[in-house]
Amino acid sequence: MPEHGQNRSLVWDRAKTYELFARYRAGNDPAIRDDLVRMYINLVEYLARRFKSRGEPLDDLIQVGTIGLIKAIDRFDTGREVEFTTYATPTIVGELKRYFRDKGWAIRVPRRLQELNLQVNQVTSDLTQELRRTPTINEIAAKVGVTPEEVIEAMETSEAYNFISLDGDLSSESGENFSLLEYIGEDDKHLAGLEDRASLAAALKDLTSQEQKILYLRFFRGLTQTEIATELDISQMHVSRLLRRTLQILRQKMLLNED
Amino acid sequence: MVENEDRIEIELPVEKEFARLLRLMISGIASRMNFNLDAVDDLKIAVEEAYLMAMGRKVTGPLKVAFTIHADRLQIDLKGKVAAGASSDKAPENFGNFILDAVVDEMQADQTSGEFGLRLTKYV
Repeated sequence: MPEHGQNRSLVWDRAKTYELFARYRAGNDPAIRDDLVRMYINLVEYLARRFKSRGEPLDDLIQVGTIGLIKAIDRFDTGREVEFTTYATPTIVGELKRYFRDKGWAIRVPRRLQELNLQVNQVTSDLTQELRRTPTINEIAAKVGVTPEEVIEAMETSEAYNFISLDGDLSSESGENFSLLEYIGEDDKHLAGLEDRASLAAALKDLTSQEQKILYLRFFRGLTQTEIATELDISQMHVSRLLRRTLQILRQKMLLNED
Repeated sequence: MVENEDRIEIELPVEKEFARLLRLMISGIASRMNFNLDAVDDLKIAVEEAYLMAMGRKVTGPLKVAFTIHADRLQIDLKGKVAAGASSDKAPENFGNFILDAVVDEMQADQTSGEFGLRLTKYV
């Protein structure tokens, strides 16, 4: 771990901070601003480290966070009774978040995992055909030549990141329109646990017809994800992703309907 | 008990971001037991759903999750204390039951008041 600043602890000299700010405001001397940056760089490091698990190099994150710090220095109003760190923290975090958002991912996927993800996807469908059954993770790992843990990581990666907009809703292109409500009867025994149809209907409105179909096949017809994948001609991982998203949306809707 | 079983236990805070940790954990355990991909995914949905159920029940303090590996099945036990006087929302709870019912083979809820307890079983 490279040493980025002198001050390793998260404690700052308040009097010195105010003195530097007073001098900076008086003359806009960039050298003083540099002093302030140096003084608070460890706050940036501390915050940047919290985003490290998202797969970007720490040095890049510190750079991005430093931009936030500079913005905070320029905007900080010393007249207000607020600690500089209190003011700077949301600005730095905001800058880091924006960085990830602009990159197009909710969370950045390391390239290694993106590639492994594609490979696992391909091998899964190959093996499903070859074995005429759903493969195990061990079988997939052996074929790809990685550990089972790496396969798990790659699969989980695909769930954590938002590929959905890239894949799109395939069923709407084919002109097919699937509505779950039309498929399940009024007195469907599966629905007993779901209370009233009205709240389900409201919740379903936010799902694409493909998602509704997956939900129907999985939970009302009891098909496995692999079987659904074959039926809809998409990958198992994509089914898994859509299913998870679908459940999340429904859960949220159910909670809202409570009020 | 004659049966030779392995048991893995974890205690974790009831906060949404830890659901993913459980997903990863169960993926590892289930794949070691040679569950196929579909079953692993079912189990991931199951632990996440059960975890969210614990959240909905307002479990206070850590949630204890134990995985017991039997020769023919995986048993998952979730246990936690419920805040006094906490009420849970009916609709999400039913939704959770509906999902769990579809992804595991057996499901048993502990009805003791003041406790959250759920046992899920899936056969290899």
